[in-house]
Amino acid sequence: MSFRRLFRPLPRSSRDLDAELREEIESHIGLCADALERKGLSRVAAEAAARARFGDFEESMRTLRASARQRSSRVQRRERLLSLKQDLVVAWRQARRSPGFSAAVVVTLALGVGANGAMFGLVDRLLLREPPGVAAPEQVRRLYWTQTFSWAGVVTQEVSNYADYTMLRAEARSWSDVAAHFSGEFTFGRGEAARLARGSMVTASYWSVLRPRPHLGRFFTADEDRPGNASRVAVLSQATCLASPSSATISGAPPWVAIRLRLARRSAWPTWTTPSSALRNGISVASTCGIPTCGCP
Amino acid sequence: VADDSLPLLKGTLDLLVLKTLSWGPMHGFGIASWLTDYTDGSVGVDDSALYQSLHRLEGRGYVDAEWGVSDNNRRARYYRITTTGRRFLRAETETWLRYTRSVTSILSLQARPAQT
Repeated sequence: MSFRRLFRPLPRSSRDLDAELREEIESHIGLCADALERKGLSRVAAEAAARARFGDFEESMRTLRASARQRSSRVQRRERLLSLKQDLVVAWRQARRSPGFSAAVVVTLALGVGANGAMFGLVDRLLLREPPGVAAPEQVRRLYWTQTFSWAGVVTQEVSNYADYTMLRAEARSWSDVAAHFSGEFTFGRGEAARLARGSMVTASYWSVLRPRPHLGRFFTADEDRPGNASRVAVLSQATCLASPSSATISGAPPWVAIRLRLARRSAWPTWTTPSSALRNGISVASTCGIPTCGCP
Repeated sequence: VADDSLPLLKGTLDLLVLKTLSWGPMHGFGIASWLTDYTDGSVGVDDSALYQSLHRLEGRGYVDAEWGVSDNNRRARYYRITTTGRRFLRAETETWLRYTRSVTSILSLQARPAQT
């Protein structure tokens, strides 16, 4: 900080501005009265004439006060800009004097800012921002099981099984619905074109709990996810559809939907697509597809 | 303000104030007196409008102000034109003169000139 800035007067308060304005106008009236007195008027008459010439004192004060406030804020803004300019000039001179040190400072700052930005982006995406594709994320809860084992103590986990899911769905009354998902790897394609992709087996209630909107078609129903009678259906993420080559066509659907999944030895027709984000919501990894839990190969 | 004084056109007061200050620092009353005396009272300067103009010019950085003491030993706020103010005055004066020359040349015509 420069010495000049240290001794710069502090910004005036509105009371100071008011007092200064009043003093200036009183001074004007006084000077005017002095001039009239020199022309031969008595002091009292000169002051009265000076006040009359000035007009409505309080009205003028109000108008001038408003313009003085605007002026004051403009002056302060100009002061700040001048101060910034001065700082930039000083910084530029210092940087030119020791370029090595300056470069090190710039790189350190850039790395620090970049790392902080990246970390904030991660935290924002994982913790702060609402998951995309879910209709009412504030109403969705993830369930955890806490169990006590004699050999491991208290263990909290989110892994459960289908029997627990059916029990929860049948017995619990504190929530409107329960959905379950299991993530795993699926093989897409055949032969040399085959590749592994993350996918999820989800219950039909998954769609009614998270309420994503399908880009095309519909999601599978509870009838298509019935134990022992699961349909050969799948919900594909939009990204998967766009990336997959077409191998068959489905009547009425755009060509990019017309792919056929082979899950182990089963075939499934993906007649429905959903935003990629919807398959990511309750699931910890990005999924390419969602198939009925009961249709698990 | 004399009753038969001419009303000022919008924007001209700022120019008149800057021109007056171009002769040297003055307080508000000094500016008003100088303008009235020089024009024999034909230009009416409203005191309140004068101070609004001064504060506006100060806000724009065209004038600076500081407290001083007048000839008759009275505390007064003295205004001084800045370099930016002088530059502004020069540019605006040029525009004003060109404008008035054009308007005057039209208004002083006695007969319609032949069309070319």
